[in-house]
Amino acid sequence: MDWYQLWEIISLPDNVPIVLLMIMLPFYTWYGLRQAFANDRLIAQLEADPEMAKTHHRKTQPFKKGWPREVHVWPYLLRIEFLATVIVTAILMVWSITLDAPLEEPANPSLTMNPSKAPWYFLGLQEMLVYFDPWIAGVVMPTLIIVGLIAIPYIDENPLGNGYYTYSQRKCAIWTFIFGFIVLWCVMVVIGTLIRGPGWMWFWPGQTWDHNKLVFEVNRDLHEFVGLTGTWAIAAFGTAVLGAFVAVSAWGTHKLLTLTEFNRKILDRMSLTQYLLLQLLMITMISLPAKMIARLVFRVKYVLVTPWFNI
Amino acid sequence: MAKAPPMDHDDPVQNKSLSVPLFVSTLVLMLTLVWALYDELYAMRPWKATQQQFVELYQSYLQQLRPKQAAIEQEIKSSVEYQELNQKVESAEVDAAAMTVDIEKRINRGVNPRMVAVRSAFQALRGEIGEPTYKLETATSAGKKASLESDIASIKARVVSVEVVSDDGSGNTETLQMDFAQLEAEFERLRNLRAELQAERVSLLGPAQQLRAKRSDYLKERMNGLTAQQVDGLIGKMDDFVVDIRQIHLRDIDWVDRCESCHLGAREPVALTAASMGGHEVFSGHPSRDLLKIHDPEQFGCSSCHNGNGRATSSMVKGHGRHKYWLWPLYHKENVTAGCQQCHSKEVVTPMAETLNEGRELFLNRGCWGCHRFEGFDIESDELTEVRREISILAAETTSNIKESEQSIIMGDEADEDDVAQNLYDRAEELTLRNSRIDAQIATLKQKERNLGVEVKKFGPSLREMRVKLRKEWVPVWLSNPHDFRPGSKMPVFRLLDEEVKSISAYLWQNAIDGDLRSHPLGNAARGKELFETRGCLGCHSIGEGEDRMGGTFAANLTRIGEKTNYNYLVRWIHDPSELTPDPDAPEDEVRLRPIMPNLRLSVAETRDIATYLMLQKTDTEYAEADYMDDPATAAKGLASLRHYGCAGCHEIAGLETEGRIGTELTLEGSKPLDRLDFALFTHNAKRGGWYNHKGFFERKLEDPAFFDEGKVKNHLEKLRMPNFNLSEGQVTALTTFLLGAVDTQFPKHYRYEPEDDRSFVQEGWWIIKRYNCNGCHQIRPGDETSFMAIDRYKDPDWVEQLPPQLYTEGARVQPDWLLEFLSNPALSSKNIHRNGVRGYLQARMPTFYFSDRQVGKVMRFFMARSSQPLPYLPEESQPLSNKERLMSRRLFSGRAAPCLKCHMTGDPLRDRNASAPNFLIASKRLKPEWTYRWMIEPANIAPGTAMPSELFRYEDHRWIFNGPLPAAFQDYEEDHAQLMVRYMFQFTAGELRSLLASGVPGG
Repeated sequence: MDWYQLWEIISLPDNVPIVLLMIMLPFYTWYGLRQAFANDRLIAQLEADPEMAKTHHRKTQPFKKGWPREVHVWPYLLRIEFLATVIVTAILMVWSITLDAPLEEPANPSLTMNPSKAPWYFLGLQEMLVYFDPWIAGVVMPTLIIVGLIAIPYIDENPLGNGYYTYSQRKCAIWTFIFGFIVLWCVMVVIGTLIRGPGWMWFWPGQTWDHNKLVFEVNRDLHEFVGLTGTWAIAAFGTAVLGAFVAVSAWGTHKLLTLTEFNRKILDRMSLTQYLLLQLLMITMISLPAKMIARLVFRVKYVLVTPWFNI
Repeated sequence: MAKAPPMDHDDPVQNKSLSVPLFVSTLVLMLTLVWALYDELYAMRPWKATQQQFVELYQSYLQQLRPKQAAIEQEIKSSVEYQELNQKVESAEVDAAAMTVDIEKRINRGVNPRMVAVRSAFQALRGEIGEPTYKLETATSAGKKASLESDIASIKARVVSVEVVSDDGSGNTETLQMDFAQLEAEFERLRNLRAELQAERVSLLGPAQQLRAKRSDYLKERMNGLTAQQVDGLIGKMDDFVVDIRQIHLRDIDWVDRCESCHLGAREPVALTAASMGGHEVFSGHPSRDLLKIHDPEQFGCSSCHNGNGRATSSMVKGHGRHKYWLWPLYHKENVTAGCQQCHSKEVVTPMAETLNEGRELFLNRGCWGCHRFEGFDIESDELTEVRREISILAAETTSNIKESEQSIIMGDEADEDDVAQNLYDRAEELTLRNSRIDAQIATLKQKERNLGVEVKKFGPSLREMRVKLRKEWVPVWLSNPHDFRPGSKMPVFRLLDEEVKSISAYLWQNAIDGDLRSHPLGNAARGKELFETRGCLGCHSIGEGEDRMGGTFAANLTRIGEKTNYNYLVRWIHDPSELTPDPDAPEDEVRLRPIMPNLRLSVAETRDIATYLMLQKTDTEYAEADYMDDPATAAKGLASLRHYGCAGCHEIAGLETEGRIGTELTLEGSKPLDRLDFALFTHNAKRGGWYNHKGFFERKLEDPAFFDEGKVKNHLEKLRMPNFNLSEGQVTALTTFLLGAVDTQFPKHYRYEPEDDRSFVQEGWWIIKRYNCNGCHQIRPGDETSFMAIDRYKDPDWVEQLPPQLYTEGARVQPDWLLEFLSNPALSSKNIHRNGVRGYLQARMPTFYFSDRQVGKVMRFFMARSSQPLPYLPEESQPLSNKERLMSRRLFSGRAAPCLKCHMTGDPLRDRNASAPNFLIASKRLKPEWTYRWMIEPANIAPGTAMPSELFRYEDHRWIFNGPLPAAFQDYEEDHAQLMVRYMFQFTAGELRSLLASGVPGG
């Protein structure tokens, strides 16, 4: 166990946000979910009693008789936000006094640093480059992520859960978020920061980042496993496999989306365009871990190989 | 708004007070603000506290210093001499005051007030004229111009009256009636008058002024430090000290150094030490004021030489650049001269940079350049390649020109029309002409090539001679570990496998030239020992090991020479190192390199004696048979190994004539990115141990070149090839310093020391001096220690005169043409060569070096430039002696008071037995009269410790006269006696010498 190396990585001013993220993200996820479950219980209680459902719509605090149904933004919300601002400012002050910007040495155009890493918020993208063709990982996927984020309000037909935490009314959205953001995006940022060392090689925490480390890994395209030759045969094979994957994951996604009565109700309200867009985004999202597993476990380089692009 | 909802005061959202958390968090925020302010003002500016500390320490030190300096000053001032001076000053001042009082009065009461009055009237008019003049310049119509011109004329003609005092200082007033031109003239007159009066005053005050300067010089010379008044000045400066960044800004390269924000004592007039500043090293003064005089920090900065981060002020670590992200960390104390190399990269000797010089010398004399290219080292072989390339290009052009010209003539002959034929003939002629120009160019280049052919020398001996030179069985023993056989040898230890030793030995043996040596009878070993120790061998070679070692380290230690070589070869080598065994298989144009070892012009008998003595230098070590050296199969494997280890970098080896260097180029090694230095398995070790930097890498690599192979699994041929030189710790530091300094400098040309005047001759010359070890025998700079000076024999007062001459002022002493002749042939004779041309009395012999004409010229220019002698040298014709003068000087020359011929050589072997100075006959060709004059007056100033007597002349009545009983003829001689003797010497003839000797001069 190389504690020195571990300390060097986590104490680097660049990496401090990631270390904080590793603590804060689970905490706030738990904190948010706790509130959501509390609200769910409240909703259940309110809905069981029609009398109360009429008079008590505040769903963020346990209710008491005689409390107002609504409170004003000013001063009740803003004063809390002001308090938060003060605290965050104080934290930022301390942070900026104690940790200087890691400027490193003057740039040398003829010498690439190793490992050379993107800023921490881009490390997820950089990590994706390991698994996909640069064209896919660098252009298609980021575009889809942004387009997908913009499209969410137009896909999401569920009217519930606005302005209060709830789990039971937004299970599908919450799981998608946990999977897509926390598991995929944040974990990839953490891997890029703490795990990837010289040569973008995999170093477990506590392993020495040794420039001399050598690994022997041969990644092969999927068609090489079956021994195909010929551009068209290879492309056709890749398309077939990819098609199968799309079909299976579409079917799985559909199954998940229609798991409960509530979900089926939501689905009914969606148009075909909305549904197809949702499927496209979901399949793309699933393809990332699928490819990660294929790559890390089975050493598959590309599935679909064409003269123009690879997937 | 709808009716308000009923309020329930238990509702926490509405009723819970946030005062406490708000108060606490605001308080925390305020505290962070305070912290930020503190950080901004003090924590990030540690130099503020440092400066305050400096002021306190410095003031208290000055307070202590003041009484001491005052006491010294008082003591000096109370000395008789000072008092005398003081009195003179005072009386001169009184005199001057009396003389200048009238002038002062005239200036102050007459000229000055009159000038003020005239000037104000004059300026008023001039101002008035200015306006119409401007209008005139810009007016467009002729009528307007004419009217303005008349305006100006009327102003100029206006007569004004001015009340003035008279200029004689009497105070009388008068009223002047003057127009513009008259005012101007009067003003000019007054200005001139004042200048005259002031000049007169200065000349009257002159003597007092000079005396005052003399008095203050007297004080300054004896004070050895500051006067009390100066100390007071410094204390006052500290009282007004302002805490602020101290910054040097070099505008032309935008270089900023803030080092003196903490190192406040660096340039203080008091030389501060850490001890005098309470043990704080940060406040000590720069240790070399002389260096700062040449490199004024205002012009050169600090970090430009020392490295470090000159802009950083937030901490010592950052300022010194000892930070993993700063590429130019401060040089450690032991490597501080590394900073010189970046600008002094053309030199091998830089004054005041001893460690760096040692490093360069090691690089040169340990043969590092055999494997590693380094710009400036072995420049000759680079030049030779270039010259040969140019010659071959030009030769190709000639051939093609000849072809084309022949073709043109043939075509011209066949042409149908006259003008076409004429054109073709013209073309042919033009090409022939061009060829003649090219031929001239080729001839120049060939001359250069010939010169370079002499200059190019490999570092090690030629291995093509080994078959006639070496004992066969000795070769593998030597190869497997040269330092076992000869500790400290320049041949480094290669990590060779047994079979490599065998195959290399076999290859070399079988590819060396076989030939017959003339056989010589044995000489006298005892005489050989004496000759070996006195002829000059020890200037470069050493003999004996450990405590018994004597001689220089430049060439091999000969303690066991008898074991490795054979007698006949040794005789041939010592007699003429350039004599080579003829190679029957060699191509006709083969160039064989000359050795560094010079020719001592020994007679064959002397050579035999020395060789006989040397052959006795051996132990009774047994050598195993080495029959495999004759096995062609073993030899076949040797070539690859020789190539692998780069043996041809230092040795001439058959079959490897065109081999290049195998090592990495080191010219810019100091600025190579750290990532490109292979720390191998030590990377983490180095990073955590604080030696992940150039210094750490160089030191470890030099100390043990195989260091970075440790722990690596490699097959034999993959291993690091650099051999082990077994360098001492000091040598490692010196070489590290040199390599650290070998950087790609960030400074423009005008910062670098690349002179184009005489100083470049000094730079060039040092390369030859060091390459041929001139300073093994001669002291070139005051303070040099030659190999001879360390030998016991030469410490004996009787032997001091046997030391080879000092060359401090060689350029001033000798004429350049003579020096050229002497360097090419130190015997100064083509027949009588077994002698020293100048100092025949010396046992040590100035050898003949294998110099090219170019090198001889460089050495000559080196000495001339070092003594600031202009080239070309135009000797002054010495004024012929009158008969009387000749007689007088002859008397003096051979008189008992100055028996010149007692020590100076005469050419008569019997007389010259005890001689210790050169013959006068060569003086006129050899010496410069100016130097000779100075030499006669005070030889000890030029060559401390010389046998030439001092105080031969004394200074009297503005001339030097002989300091002894004067012959009667000198009675009414008014000229300088030393000058007379110089003239006599420069007109000294063989006839004069003969007649002097015949008349029986003393000292015989």
